[in-house]
Amino acid sequence: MIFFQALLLFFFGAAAFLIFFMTAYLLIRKKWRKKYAKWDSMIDLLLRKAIFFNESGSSADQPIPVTPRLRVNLENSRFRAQLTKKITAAKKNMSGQAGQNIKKLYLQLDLDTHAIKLIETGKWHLMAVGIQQIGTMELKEHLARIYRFTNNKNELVRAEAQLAVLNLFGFEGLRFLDVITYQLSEWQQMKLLKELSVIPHVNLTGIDKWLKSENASVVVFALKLARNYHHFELYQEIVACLEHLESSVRTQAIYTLTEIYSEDTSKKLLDRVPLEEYNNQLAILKAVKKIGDEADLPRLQGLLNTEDLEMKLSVVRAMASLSQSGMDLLMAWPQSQSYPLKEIITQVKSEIRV
Amino acid sequence: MSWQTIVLDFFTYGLLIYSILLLSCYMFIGGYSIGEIRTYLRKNSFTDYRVLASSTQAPSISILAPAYNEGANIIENVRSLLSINYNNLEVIIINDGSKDDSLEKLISAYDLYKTDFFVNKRIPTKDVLGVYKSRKAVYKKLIIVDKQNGGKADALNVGVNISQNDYIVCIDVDCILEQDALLKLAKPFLEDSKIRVIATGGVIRIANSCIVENGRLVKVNLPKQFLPRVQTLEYIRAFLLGRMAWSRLNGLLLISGAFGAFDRDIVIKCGGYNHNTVGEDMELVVRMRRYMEEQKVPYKVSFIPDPLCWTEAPASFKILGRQRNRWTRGTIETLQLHKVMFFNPKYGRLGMISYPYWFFFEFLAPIVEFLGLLSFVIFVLLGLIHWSFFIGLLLFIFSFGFLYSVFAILMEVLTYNQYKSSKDLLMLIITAFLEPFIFHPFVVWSAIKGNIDLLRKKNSWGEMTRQGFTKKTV
Repeated sequence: MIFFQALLLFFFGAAAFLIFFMTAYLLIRKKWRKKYAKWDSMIDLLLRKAIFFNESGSSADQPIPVTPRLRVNLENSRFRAQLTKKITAAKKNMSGQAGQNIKKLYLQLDLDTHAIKLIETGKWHLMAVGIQQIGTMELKEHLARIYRFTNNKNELVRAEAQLAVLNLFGFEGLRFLDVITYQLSEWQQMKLLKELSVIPHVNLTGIDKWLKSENASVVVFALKLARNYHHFELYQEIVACLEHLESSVRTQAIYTLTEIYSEDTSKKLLDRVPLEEYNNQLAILKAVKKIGDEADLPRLQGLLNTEDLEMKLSVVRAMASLSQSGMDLLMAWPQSQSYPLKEIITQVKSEIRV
Repeated sequence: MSWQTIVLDFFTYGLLIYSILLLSCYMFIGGYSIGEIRTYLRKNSFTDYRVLASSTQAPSISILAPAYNEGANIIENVRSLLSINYNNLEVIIINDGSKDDSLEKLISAYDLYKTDFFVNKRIPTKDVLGVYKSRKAVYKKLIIVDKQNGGKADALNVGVNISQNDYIVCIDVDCILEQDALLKLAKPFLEDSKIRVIATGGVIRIANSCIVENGRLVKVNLPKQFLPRVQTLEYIRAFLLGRMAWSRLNGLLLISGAFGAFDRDIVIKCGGYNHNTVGEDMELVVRMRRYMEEQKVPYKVSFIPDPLCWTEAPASFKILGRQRNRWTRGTIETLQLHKVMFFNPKYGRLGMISYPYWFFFEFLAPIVEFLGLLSFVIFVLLGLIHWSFFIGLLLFIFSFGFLYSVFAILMEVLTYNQYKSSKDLLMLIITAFLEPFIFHPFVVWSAIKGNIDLLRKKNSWGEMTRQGFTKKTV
């Protein structure tokens, strides 16, 4: 009984403590919310001053005026975090002189020192914040410090470091692809491509090297770069990726070859069909539908006998879209008037009509 | 030592050991979920979902929404699904042989025409009567499938057969999704390059008393009625603590049928939804996991703590009872179907941790609780044990349950804080206090009835009548 009573007291006591903690937390948060609102207006005013700094006739060498109260508040880590968050958000959305003024304010308030301190904490979520700030503020002098994190064991740290390096050096920043040993996730690849899409495209070199990387995700990313930036000169290297050991690389090579292709690409892709796994076979048929020509019809016709209905549908789609001869061949095919080919052809015809 | 003493000791100590084990599991789950939620929130603060929304390389998704006699709200529900923020999307509504005018309403509202669509029956299903598309370009994402009635699992399997995309998101047609729900649900599939993510789930919240406008949730309110409110608390506990902890362990066995995303390729390879069970959502996840274990392919079932989907909870004991009865039968059927995995090291964590946990603490818990309580009452009446011991044991269990609920409320406050007013939080705490007296005994009783119904081979779904959401009034 004493055992029960002790546990009973403990559980109720713990529940009462949690309720007390929750109440205190909510009260403090309410208080902080009011404070944050005040800080927000103070920071907004400062940002406005910074953005229009040159328009008020001030010389570029002069510092942006900062109130003594704000300087005092800077000692408060919460205020500093709020200020940094707003400054970096403003910098992301602004270019030209306004962006430069925001950067000037950031440096004037010594916020870069705090970013470095965050990086030096060794805690992944703080390091990522610091790295992100350095990148957004384009502080090129910290490249050496940031660059080594592009192959960090923590995925968030290395992801932010890779983005920061792109922010600092544009396409040249991609040289981290030479050294990374960790895989680039699909998500990270999308973020990198998005970041690159807003950077002026200049002289992208190194793709040929990355296409031969031992890191399969680097090869996939290089294939995406070749496709997005139309690197036709890499055609042979891309075709070579069709024989890569990793299936994901071969899939991406097929996608890239639908954008970068020559007269014989569809033939090369069709050659791969018997050697490929199922999903890549379907990808090849989709590619041939887009880039093939009448010369591919006999090869496609040979695939019509497949038992797999998904594959059959893809073959019919490819044949029907290549030319009228493709459709004529389909209609002349012995099984074209019986299930399932008849139904598949009807569907494809209606797709073409739409 | 007399036989009465032996029986009594067996019951007393057996029940005590079981209770301690169960409470230890809950404590572990509560503590273990904290790390997962914290990591997720920290990582998420760096996530810009616009990257995914605008990318042409975003994974393609098919939403599958079965509908049976949903004519009253079907137009608004479909409009809500079409307004979801995601580019690479098709919305497939499967009319499962509705007896009302659902199809006619859809044809008229969305200017539909019957297409020549070849249905590749990779998963065997009842016959498809027609596939409809809209003449209007603005509804180009929409596909309506009319089929013979075959139940929810069969309807979802038709959707899987029709879908053209890489991932399927299965939802209840009357659920309300957050605008960025698909972006958040799609991201885990892109994050890991070494392990294949086969399914992702998100948090489901209770929408009773919330305000809905044009198929969108515009104001979150704590349910005014007791039953939906106690289910709100139950969902917070289950999703924010339970599933996050299981996700961290990579041992999640259930992604709610109301909202979950799946790798279509794996779903097809596994044979789709099983229409011989009323717990088709859990059964599919277990079968997919079993398939991956047998293929020896590294995989993960992911879960995210963001509230993504809002649904109406049963507000009457009658409907709630049917729902819990069905959930119990679904759990038992799933466990039966995959009993080969029970403590089978071949299935790794799935066989050694997840399955045994569900067997001992999800399937057996209501039975043990019911029989234990009954036995203790008899022992007290026979004078074999002192009533103070019995009350002490009950209070011990009650105090822990209350503590666990308060902890869940605290986690909610510290993370998503959907119920902001102090009054709402006080109501939640009072609800946590009352739950063991009203809601919990009813749920246990419904589970017992589920067990009995299964033994009697009753396998009905149980009608779910809904009251409808609160609409904004002008």
